[in-house]
Amino acid sequence: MKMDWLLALEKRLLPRRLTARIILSMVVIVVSAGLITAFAVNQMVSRHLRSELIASGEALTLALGESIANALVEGDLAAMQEMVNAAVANNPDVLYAFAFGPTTPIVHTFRDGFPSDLLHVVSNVDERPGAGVLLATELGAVRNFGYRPLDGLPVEVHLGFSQARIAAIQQQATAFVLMLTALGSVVAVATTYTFSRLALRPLTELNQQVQRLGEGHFDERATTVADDEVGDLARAFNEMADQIQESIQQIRFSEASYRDLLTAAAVVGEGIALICDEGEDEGNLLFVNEAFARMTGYATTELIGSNAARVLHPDSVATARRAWRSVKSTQQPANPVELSLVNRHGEKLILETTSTLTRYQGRRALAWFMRDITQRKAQENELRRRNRELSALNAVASAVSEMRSPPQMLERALEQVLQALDLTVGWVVTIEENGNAHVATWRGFDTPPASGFPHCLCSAVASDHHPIIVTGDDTRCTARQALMHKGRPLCHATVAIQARSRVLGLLSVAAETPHVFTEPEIALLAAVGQQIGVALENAHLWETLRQREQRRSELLAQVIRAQEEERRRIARELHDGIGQSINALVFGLNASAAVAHDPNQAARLLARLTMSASDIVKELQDVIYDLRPSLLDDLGLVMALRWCAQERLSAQGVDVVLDTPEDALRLPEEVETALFRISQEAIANICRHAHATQAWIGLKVGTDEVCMTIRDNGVGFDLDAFNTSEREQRPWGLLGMQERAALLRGRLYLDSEPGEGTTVRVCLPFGESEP
Amino acid sequence: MNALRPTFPLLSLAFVLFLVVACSNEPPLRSVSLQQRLLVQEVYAPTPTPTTCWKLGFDRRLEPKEDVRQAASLASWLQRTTGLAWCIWITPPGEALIEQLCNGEVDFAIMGTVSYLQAHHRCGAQIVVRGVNSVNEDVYRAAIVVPVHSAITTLSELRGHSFAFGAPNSTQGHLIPRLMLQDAGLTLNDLRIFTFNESHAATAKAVTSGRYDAGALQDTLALNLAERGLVRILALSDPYPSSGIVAAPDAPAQTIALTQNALVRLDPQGADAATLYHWERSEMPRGFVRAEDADYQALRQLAAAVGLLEP
Repeated sequence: MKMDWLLALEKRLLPRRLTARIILSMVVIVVSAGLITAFAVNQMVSRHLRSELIASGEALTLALGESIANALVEGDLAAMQEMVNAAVANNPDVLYAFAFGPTTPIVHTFRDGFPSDLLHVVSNVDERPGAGVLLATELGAVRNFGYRPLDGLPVEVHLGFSQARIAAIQQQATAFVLMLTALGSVVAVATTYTFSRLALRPLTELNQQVQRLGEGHFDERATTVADDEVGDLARAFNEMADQIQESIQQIRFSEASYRDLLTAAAVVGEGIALICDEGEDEGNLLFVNEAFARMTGYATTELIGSNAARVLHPDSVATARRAWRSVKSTQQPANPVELSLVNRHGEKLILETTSTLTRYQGRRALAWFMRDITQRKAQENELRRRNRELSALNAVASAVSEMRSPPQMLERALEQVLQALDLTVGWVVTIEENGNAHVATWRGFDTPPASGFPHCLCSAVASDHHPIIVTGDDTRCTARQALMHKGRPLCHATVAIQARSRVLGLLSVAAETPHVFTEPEIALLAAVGQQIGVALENAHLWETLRQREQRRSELLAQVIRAQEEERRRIARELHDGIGQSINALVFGLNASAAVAHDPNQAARLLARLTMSASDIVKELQDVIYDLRPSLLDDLGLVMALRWCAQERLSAQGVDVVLDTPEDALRLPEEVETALFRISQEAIANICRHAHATQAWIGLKVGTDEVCMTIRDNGVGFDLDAFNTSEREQRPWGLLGMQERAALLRGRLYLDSEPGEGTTVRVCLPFGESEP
Repeated sequence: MNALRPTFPLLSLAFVLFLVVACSNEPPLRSVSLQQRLLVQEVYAPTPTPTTCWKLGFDRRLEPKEDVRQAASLASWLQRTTGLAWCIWITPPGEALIEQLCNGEVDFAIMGTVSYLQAHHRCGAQIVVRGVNSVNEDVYRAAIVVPVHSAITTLSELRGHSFAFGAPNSTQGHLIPRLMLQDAGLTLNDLRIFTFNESHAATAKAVTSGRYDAGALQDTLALNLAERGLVRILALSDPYPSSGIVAAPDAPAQTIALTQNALVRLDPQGADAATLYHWERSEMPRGFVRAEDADYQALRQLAAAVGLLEP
């Protein structure tokens, strides 16, 4: 800034013409040399004369002091006066002299009286005169030399030397040098003018040729080429003109290539903008190609001249400036930087940009290259999100796929979800079939949060299956007190853990702000919920299957045992009953030969044998009915039920009420068999254990399902104990009923309490059955 | 290069200013008027504040300024050695040092033997120390000299010739030479003319210039001049107690003792040479020894005989 001011001042003060400048320079040089010389001569003369005067003054003062010392001691005033007068008279430079002794007045050479001012210089002298004291008087500069010739006594001698002679000589020398300077200046002006006229003539001609070159006449060449500096300049000019001509051709070719490059870049979608990097237009767009204009949505004419920050997203302005500053400082192309751009329609575009320094229209500029990567970034983000989601799902799947108990599986799954979402607080609520809910696992709490189910906000998820986001300040959240982090309530998102449209539980994760739970995050949570639900359902199914398999195995064993028992019973019955009867019949038949001669006896024996054979047949029919009543096959389920009730219950005094449809009802064989066997077992249980006085047997037939209910008013039993009973104590009859129902995809319900009787209800589907 | 152009004049100006400052080493001028506030009456220089000091007087031996410088240097030495304040006292023309010593204007005085005898005779002044000459004797002699080419070879040949004495009160310049002439059978009446000079230097000048045929000098000066070929020594006297420093009659004994003890330690050719001004030209070039009045009895009688102690 300071330099600019000085240059402006120089431009204003100095003449424009080179000749005038040379002349002025010469005058300045001569005058400066003259002034310096005058000053130097002045100083040299002054110093020399002053030294001389000081030496003379000191010597004269010493001499006067020595010569006058005796007179001073003696108080010889006449001698003193004579000596001081002689000192002044014999030295033209001495203006005055005076001396005094310890008892004498001041003897001096002043005609009109002793100047009182000089008393100040008295008694203030050294033993030697030295350089004296310089006084400013009306007569000019006077150097006073003082001397005390007698040490220890107030005796002094003073001489005043005028420096007027020194000043006069100085003035003469200065005037002489200045006169020489003026003369030299005149000669310098004349000489310089003549020389410059001669020397600058070729330069003037060259100047005209340079002007013509500047006007665009690139074939202009200097013709006067002397063998001197101007000739060298002319040759340099011609070479420069040749190079300029060649350079211009290269520049034109380069500019054409440059335009082609910009156009080609625009064709493939590369945006290019040139940003001015100097002057008042710094930061403004000097050039934009069509691709850049398309990205911004503005016309190129609208963009050129406007500031580059106009199209940048506010978040990217600082980044862009840093990148551009880096380019300017390193002079190297910048590494690719992602910047955001806001187009005319307010849409945000993501650009991959780089920049480098260049020149455009004679000005330094930043070439800004960019490529629209918005779509690619979106795809990358989507891919990244999906990857994360897949990772989370994979982790959860991995967690739930391990053979763990449901609580362990839920804990592991929650851990994976929180890790995937980069959260720390979460919990899982499981909902049982009867609607009871409890917190199965949790993270981020010392104690499990109160679920408040089904009164909390999250309960809605169980009913409508939609995820919910509960803000921290929502007072309806029952877990709000537990969700405090650093004094601030956390918000949480809850999704359903469901399988086959049935909600098995709720998965909740908490965060400091609801912004964490974006749509993808919620979708991920929901997917995890589904996955956990399936896993939970599978776990349940596996557990059920396992239990069922266990029961089936046990039941099979029991069936085998029952078969053996039944065989033994049949064998026993055949042996003890039918066998004995047949033996008796055989003995009767054997005996018939002995009584054949006696018809009466033979007739009685035959009648008795016939009765025995009838009893055998009846016993055999009983055995066969016990195995499978033919009534069931011949007359159907209703009749079989009625027969069984009468045979077993009524025989034991139990009052039976049958609520059945018409007797002619026929159901599929396997259904009838199953229901009959179940009823057989239920009735047997009433007979064996219930001590009932009444029993109800009902049969309801629907369009595709038949349900049978057998209830008694007996002693009942503890159903929970039944479910948890040891293997040896299990009621295999009831298990067999369940198994028979399950085999036909039916359901068997058992309800009993001690003292309240027992109800067995079984429903079996029929009709078109699924494979 | 463009950036240097504007700074070049500034650098040149700075260089010139440097030259001006470097060459201007004159002290500042003190403004004094030589034509105004003139004092037409007799003007005395401002006197320094008077201080109390022990005044050391001296009688004239050499030139006044030389006597002053020697006395001033001894006073300066005494001040440094004794711790007392000392200053010199110049006896104005027309006044006698003996009077000033007796009336208390001067406390101590460097004086010759005759002056001491007169002061003692008059007011009881007491000798403190006496000088040691160049051959380390505490006595001195008088010498009667003649010009180098004089035809006179003995004292008796002085009869009818002119003779220059020193001061009338000078022991070496008058008292002892009178005794030497007397021993040679000459009185003042036997001389063609005689004169008294105020100093030995004046006597020597009178002889060397040929204005007088012979003169009486202190032995040290005579020997010095003889060595330089300016005079010829005609006769040397017997040794007599040399001159020294005398205390005023009312000077405190303690001060006298302090001064005496200091003076006997004076080493003019050794440690104290630099302090003293040309002490080799004095009558005590090797310092002092203690002196007592009895040492001067013989001279007192001679002085009385020649009338120097009258009244």
